[in-house]
Amino acid sequence: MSDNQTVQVRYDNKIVVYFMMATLIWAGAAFLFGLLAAIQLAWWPANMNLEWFTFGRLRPLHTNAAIFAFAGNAVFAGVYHSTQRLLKTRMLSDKLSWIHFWGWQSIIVAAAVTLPLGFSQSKEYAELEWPIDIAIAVVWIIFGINFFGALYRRREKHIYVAIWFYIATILTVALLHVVNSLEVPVSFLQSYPVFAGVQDALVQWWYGHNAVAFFLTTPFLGLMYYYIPKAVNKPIYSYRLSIIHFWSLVFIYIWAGPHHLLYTALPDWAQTLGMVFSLMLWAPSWGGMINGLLTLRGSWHLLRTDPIVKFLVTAVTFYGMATFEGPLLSIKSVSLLAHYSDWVIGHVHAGALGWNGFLSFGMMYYLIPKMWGREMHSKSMMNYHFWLGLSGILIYYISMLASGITQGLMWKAVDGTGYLVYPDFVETVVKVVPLYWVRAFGGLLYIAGYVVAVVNIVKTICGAEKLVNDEVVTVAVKAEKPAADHEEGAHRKLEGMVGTFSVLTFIAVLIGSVIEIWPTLSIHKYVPQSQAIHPYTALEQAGRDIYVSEGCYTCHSQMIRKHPSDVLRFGDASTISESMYDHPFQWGSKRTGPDLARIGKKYPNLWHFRHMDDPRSMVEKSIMPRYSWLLEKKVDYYSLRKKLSVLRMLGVPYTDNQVAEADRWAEAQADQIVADLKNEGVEIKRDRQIIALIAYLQSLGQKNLTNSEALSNIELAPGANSSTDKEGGEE
Amino acid sequence: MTNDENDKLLDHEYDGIQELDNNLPLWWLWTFFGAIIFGFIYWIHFSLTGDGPSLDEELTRDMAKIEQQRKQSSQAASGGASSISPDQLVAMGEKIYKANCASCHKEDGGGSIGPNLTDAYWIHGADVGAIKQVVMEGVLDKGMPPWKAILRPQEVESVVSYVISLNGDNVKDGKAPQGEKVE
Ligand code: HEC
Ligand code: HEC
Repeated sequence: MSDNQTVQVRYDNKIVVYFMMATLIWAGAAFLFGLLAAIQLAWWPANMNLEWFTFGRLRPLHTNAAIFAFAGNAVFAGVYHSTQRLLKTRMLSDKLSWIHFWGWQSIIVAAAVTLPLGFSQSKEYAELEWPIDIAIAVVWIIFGINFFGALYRRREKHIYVAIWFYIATILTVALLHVVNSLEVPVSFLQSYPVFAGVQDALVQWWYGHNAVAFFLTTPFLGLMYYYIPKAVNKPIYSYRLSIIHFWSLVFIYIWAGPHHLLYTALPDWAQTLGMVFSLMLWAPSWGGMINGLLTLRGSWHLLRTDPIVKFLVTAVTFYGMATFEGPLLSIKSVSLLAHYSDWVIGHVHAGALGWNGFLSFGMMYYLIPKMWGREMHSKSMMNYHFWLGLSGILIYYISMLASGITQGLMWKAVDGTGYLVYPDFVETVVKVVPLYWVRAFGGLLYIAGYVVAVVNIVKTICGAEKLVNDEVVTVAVKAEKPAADHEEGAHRKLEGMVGTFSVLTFIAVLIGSVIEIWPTLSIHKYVPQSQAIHPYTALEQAGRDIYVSEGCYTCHSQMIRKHPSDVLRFGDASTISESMYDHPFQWGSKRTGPDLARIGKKYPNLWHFRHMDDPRSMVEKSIMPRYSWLLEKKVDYYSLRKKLSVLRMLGVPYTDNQVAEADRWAEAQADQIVADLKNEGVEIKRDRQIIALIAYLQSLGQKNLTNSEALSNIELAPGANSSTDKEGGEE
Repeated sequence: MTNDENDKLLDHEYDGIQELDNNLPLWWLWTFFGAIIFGFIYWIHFSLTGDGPSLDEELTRDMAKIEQQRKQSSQAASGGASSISPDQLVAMGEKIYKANCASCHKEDGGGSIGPNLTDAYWIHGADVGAIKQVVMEGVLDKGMPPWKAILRPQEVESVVSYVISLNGDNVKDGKAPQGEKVE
């Protein structure tokens, strides 16, 4: 065309290659941590009795590595590669690109050091402590500036659907991360979230669910929209579908968080919204799948011959499967069966290994030959990788589905006489242990596939001449066409207005967020006096911090759902007020062990003492790890003053005296527990962590004020405080 | 690509990627509308009008049903005169004891976390009624769990019989006596 000009653009390939290599390296770490965690559930001594590798610390390490290190770097590689080409420009600044790269890798290293050491907020996928949270925000904003800068300098008036998804990703992840990380530091590596109990639960799952949506779905859909048509050389099936499913996905996804909290103390209206929006999400998600798969029409033979297409298509198929299962799991009655069980673990791995994993590998197999100007070393190795990986995912998924349904049915079973059929929790644990072995085997296969991939990639790279850091291409820049001879549709116009487009996207995600979160922010104010509760004593709070830092929530819930099977097993359903001083909430999402919301006073101190030291001494078939180091490690009582003062700032009604004398208050209660244990023949010093943890466990479910007691009781000073006497109550 | 599709090919092109403008699949549209309509009705029923039961109401209703079942079954059990012999009852109790009580009272009843059940000393009394009461309600402040929600009436019966059968064994290495001596 005559009205076209041409320009030379230098695409930055080096940054893409670096992100790809980071993806490959961290993938190995994420997979190995996952395998170790899987083996530990089948055979607890696999933690080698090292506190750094116990399940509670390892699982966050695994999930963070998989989401932020593996999938994150894969997204960045794909975004940096495709964005430059779709916008016909280099990124805004090389410097920003490299700050982004090294910043992100340092964050990962910081996570890999702090999580095993027990610095954790115990909020799922947001475990990292506050300095790292700040670093994440900063690096993410740098990425955003780099990306939006490139958008601003683009040489293509309209933006392609992949870019829409990238925009939604960058804006929404920033919002989610910042809101869910609002926290007040108490020391260099510890903080309390500003939200408590039900608020924290809602904000956390708004974040947690949408981390899946906007970190593991929208960016990958963007990648799909670029790499599938590229790999098969076909046009996208339907532009209209892109529009409809993009906007509906972005608008609806954000509402679905409460489906993680069905039957809990979260108010019914929020649960209902979470469920119905999850159902509505099914079609928008499948819109993406249809557009991906139908783009292949007429090229299905490539599935047999081209390993890249195999990876990409299988990934999209798993996406379809997982996004069908998601709404299914959000139906209240299904959730009742599946929640807290291994089914959910199977569900996420179909998504993570199938959709994110295979799409990332497919993309890398497409990119590596382009970057190094050389075919992949071995096509058959790509095929081996594919089949090993696929069998791994299927074995993993099926074993966890079977385990989850087994658990769900056993937990729920109530016979005709009104009693639980399997009242002994451990029975339901022992039953699924063989399936844990099968799952670990599935994981091993997936890793074997990964090893084949690494060998193949290394051989490809070693045989290559030299990496081309900059790719220089000549692109045509279309001149503006006069509007008269070219009517643009409304959405087409919008695609040319990036600012407006971004604002509308942001509004779309804000609507659901505000409607769901806003009303809950004041919810604790309306707790009736009769249902008010005592805050934790200083010692109990110290114990709670240990519970949080050890990651007990990875196996234990603290939320008895409003259903007879839960109530019969664990006691009265949990109420909103019971967790109103919980910074952070610890409702949990998984019951590998029993619920602990009402564990207080169920057992004597000595039982907990022995159980934490060696669970099998109390429950023969337990798979819970030993926590013997709690008998050695000390609690820093003095720091409790600072902790309580921060908590008071956040709204926990401690008195001046309680804060000022927090350490003495704690020691007094510790002395009672020590004396009780001594009575039973156990000598232990009062400053040991186990004492604080026992105090915390004994307080769970025991904090209700009886109706006659007024809330003002709490105002009394420690010592003179009737509530402390009562809580200490082991005299 | 068919001619038909060529018509649908849009004149956009991004880095070589083109787009067709196929219609939305009808079944897809219907699942979408269906979910929205269902969601709306569900929301009206449970949230807006409040016609649907709340979770609390559901729980109260279901628990009442379970209470009813428990009553009926215990009536049936006591009405039909115990069909099992005292020996069978003790044997059944032994199983239940091993599964639920041994971790605290020890396999042989000698006591560890909980008191020795084989000696003549009792904290809460030695008669059937007192023992049953302790087993059913527990002693919360002292760490004896309540079992009434977990064990069926007959199971409680049986484990109490078993405890009584243990009593007097005075096992070796038993825990030191607690409570009052009962002759
Ligand atoms: C690998 C999963 C796992 C982790 C991590 C774990 N537990 Fe457990 N826990 C279990 C299992 C399984 C049981 C049931 C068997 C038993 O009682 O040991 C259990 C039981 C318990 C019980 C007894 C509950 C009851 O009602 O009988 C307590 C208390 C407990 N755990 C506390 C903790 C604490 C505190 C932590 C963190 C320091 C923790 N657990 C970490 C798996 C785990
Ligand atoms: C978590 C540990 C634990 C478990 C499990 C447990 N008990 Fe106990 N039990 C105790 C403790 C502690 C006491 C002492 C209560 C007190 O000091 O008042 C006790 C007291 C008793 C007593 C009263 C003894 C007396 O001297 O009056 C009986 C009877 C008894 N338990 C029976 C059982 C039976 C039957 C089971 C199983 C169904 C059981 N216990 C399970 C800890 C336990």
